Amino acid sequence: MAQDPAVHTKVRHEFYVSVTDFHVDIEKGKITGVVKTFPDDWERAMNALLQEKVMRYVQLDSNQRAALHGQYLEQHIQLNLNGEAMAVEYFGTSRGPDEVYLLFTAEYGDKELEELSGNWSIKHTLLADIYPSQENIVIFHYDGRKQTNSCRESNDYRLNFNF
Amino acid sequence: MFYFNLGIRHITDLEGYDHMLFLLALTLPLSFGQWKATLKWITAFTVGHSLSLGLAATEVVRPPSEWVELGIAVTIAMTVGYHLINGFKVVQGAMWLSGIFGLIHGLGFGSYYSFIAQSDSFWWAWIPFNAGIEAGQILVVLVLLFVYWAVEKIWRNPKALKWMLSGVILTLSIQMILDRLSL
Repeated sequence: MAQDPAVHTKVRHEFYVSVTDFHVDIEKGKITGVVKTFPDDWERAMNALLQEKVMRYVQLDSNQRAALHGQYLEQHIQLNLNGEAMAVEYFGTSRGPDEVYLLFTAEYGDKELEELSGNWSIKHTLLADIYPSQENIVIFHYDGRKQTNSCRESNDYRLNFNF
Repeated sequence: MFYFNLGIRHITDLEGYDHMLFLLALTLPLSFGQWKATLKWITAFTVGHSLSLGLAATEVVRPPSEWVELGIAVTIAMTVGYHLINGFKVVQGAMWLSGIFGLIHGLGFGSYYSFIAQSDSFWWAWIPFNAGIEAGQILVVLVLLFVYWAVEKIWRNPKALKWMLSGVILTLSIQMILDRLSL
């Protein structure tokens, strides 16, 4: 699953944004999610993580990159249902023409669909430590419905969705 | 509602101040008394902006972003120049100019919109996003017109204010052009 994102994007961009889909996937029995972000933004975040080790992202092999992606992603996305935390687990990385996709899951145990309704709380600070104007758009899918909002500095990168 | 708010925030975002600078340049001859012209000019800009944003986001047109950024800076300088030539009079041609320049500005948002838009709701989100841009512009222009009105009350020399602002906008836009030429 893990593919190396390229180090540069062809599209020059002046905005700092990511888009994350969360799906309550009853068939798989877990939350599945995917973050879409820009390769150059992502590489910069990874380089910042590696600064203490005096290393550069381009020097890492695919396993080292996957470990780093997982560490960063799991630290920057928090998910709660009705106050109960769900651990986010990094799954892999994929690459589009001008974007990087980070895949993750979150286990919700043996809950039924009805038990998964209520207040979903998300804290999503991906890349906010690098770019103060970072905005993380979140699309939450539940039982054929979806809600969209964004985590940004003005809401302390926190969102609530009610289903 | 999210995309409507996003459109408003895009216009009122001070980090992307070139858009704000364009609105400042565009409204130089305007006042509350000319609300019809104000609405026409802003709406013409939004129509042009929406059209080219849609075309760029769907990659029907995909001009190099360096040229678009340069073009945006040039439109700011040209708008000031246009008003200077016309002696800050409200002329019909400004509406067309606004629409054409809106086309250039919209190209700058194309890649952003294609990045954030969902394929299954691309056009459904496009409508509120552009409506938000229109609403954001009206908000900004209302603030500007209020400032012009307040300054006129105090200073009683509106032409001097307009000349001064023109100088500032021209300087900033020429600086932008030079910066963007060196890309």
